[in-house]
Amino acid sequence: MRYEKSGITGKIVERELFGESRYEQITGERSPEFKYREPDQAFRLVKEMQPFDPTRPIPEFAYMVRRIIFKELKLSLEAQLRFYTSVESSLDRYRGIDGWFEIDNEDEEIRVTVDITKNTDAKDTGYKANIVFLVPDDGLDRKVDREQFIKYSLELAHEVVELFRQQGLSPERN
Amino acid sequence: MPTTEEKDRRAAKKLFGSINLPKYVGGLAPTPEQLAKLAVTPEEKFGKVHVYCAGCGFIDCFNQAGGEELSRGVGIPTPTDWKQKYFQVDRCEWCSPENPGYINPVLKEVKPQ
Repeated sequence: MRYEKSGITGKIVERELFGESRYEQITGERSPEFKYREPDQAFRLVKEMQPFDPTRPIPEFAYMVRRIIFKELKLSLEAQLRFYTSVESSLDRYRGIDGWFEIDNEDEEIRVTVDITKNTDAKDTGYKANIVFLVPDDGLDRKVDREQFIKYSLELAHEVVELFRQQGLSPERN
Repeated sequence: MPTTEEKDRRAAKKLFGSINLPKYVGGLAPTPEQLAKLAVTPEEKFGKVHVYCAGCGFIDCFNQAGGEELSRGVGIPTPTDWKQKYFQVDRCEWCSPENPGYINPVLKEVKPQ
């Protein structure tokens, strides 16, 4: 953490020079996000900053993936399945999480986190999301290549469903 | 030439959207509703102590280590009990991401009405 009163430390200077995502690589210490904020709080904060209704995400890709998951899980209530973006948040910067799908399962919420990447070597932050999803280098756009867009949407949706089930979600829900 | 990280962030932003960061206003004070929240110790799973930003009005929550670090920043001993206590800062990482940090922290106490 940095305070106006205590001045800029060497570690903070390094953080600013090299970029926040490399904080731990450079300093050899866990980032403030890990040291001072509980994971539940990190997710709760990001939920308060959503740019859209989590049951109706505005980006076409997120919307499509959520629809496929909803159908595959045979859900009946829209509110049961939610998508949250965390792009540009501390979850993105320090934990490599770009967004997550969340579902109510009995008395608890279970989530599957996703990191979008174009890097075939994947990220070596050591704090990966549940799914590191590789997208084409020239991007995904339904208007440019509809088939490719649907193929990738299905692929991510299937991975998310599988991970929901691995966390104890029953195969068929009403 | 964009770095790999920049390319990934652009791709993620296009496919997933991005969060709405709170805007810096400055000179804010907690509303009565916020004071009620600040007076109560957070649920254990969220942390130990609340942090109120007078820059954007946002309330965050830190664990014990965060509370100790902020106490050091203020130059006071770490309180043994966080009940009715919270930190106030002038800027936070959310409203001032270009200048990450918790600026000018002060320990405040919510007085019982």
